[in-house]
Amino acid sequence: MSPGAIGLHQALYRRVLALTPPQHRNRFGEDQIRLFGDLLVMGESPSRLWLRTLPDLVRVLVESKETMVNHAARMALGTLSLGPLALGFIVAWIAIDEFGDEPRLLPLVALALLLQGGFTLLWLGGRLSRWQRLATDALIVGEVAAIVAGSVMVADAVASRIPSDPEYAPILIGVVIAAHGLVGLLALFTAQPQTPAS
Amino acid sequence: MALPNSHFHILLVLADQDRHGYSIMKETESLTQGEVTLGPGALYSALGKLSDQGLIEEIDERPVPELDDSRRRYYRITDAGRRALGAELHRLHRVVEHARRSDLGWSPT
Repeated sequence: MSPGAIGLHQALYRRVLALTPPQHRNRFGEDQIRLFGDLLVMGESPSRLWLRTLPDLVRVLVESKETMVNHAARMALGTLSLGPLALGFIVAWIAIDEFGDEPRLLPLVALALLLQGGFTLLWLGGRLSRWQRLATDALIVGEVAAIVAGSVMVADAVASRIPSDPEYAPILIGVVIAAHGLVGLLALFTAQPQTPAS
Repeated sequence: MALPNSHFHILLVLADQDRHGYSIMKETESLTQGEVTLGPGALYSALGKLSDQGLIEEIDERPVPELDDSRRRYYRITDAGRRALGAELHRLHRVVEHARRSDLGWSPT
């Protein structure tokens, strides 16, 4: 095949690569175009190469979509873990400040919230890879507990509200906790923890 | 966890020497007698993931600099990559052993 014809195929392949996500294209686009040309130079049939390239392109698109979904889920879980962490510090601060006056449950609530947030961040960072299944199960239990606790809070607040002077704060907090658990659970099933480099 | 097929073959062909994309593609085809073919997209997608996981690394050295295109990227398997490859080979070995012992009417040729 003449260098001109190879250049033409490469130019066409460059156009096709424009369909792939920019992250993939920017990182490997030039390598792929060079490899495409190398294959033609080494005698690969152009029609056979193009037939191989199209499913290959679909595969890259699907994998990129999976990567994007995983990235979004990781972002959601990372952001959601900040809530329990922040709330845990606040509850811990109240528990220390009001030591003796508040119910003994308060330090435990603070500990549970700090554990939930911290544990999620460690899981995302791949720090719990040795106990991957156990850690994931523990996180699932935590998120289900949040859904149950939030739902109970809402039900209790609705049942005990006074029609003449309704309080919406407990309902709102319950909804936030339950929604937090639900989104966390969905993200947990989609996100993959980071793979440790060594 | 089992390695994806393409990742396994890439690690396998990088285990004996550093290679660039074209060489990885051709060696994989040759090793599997054409049963595993990687297109340019699948190849570089897999190389990117393996690199992100620290199982392979890009290197600046060239095996034969005077015969090589300087724009080509060469890849080398890392220690973590060798461990992952070893674990996968061990897993496959166990599968083959199980199949050999089971009454499947099969034996490796």
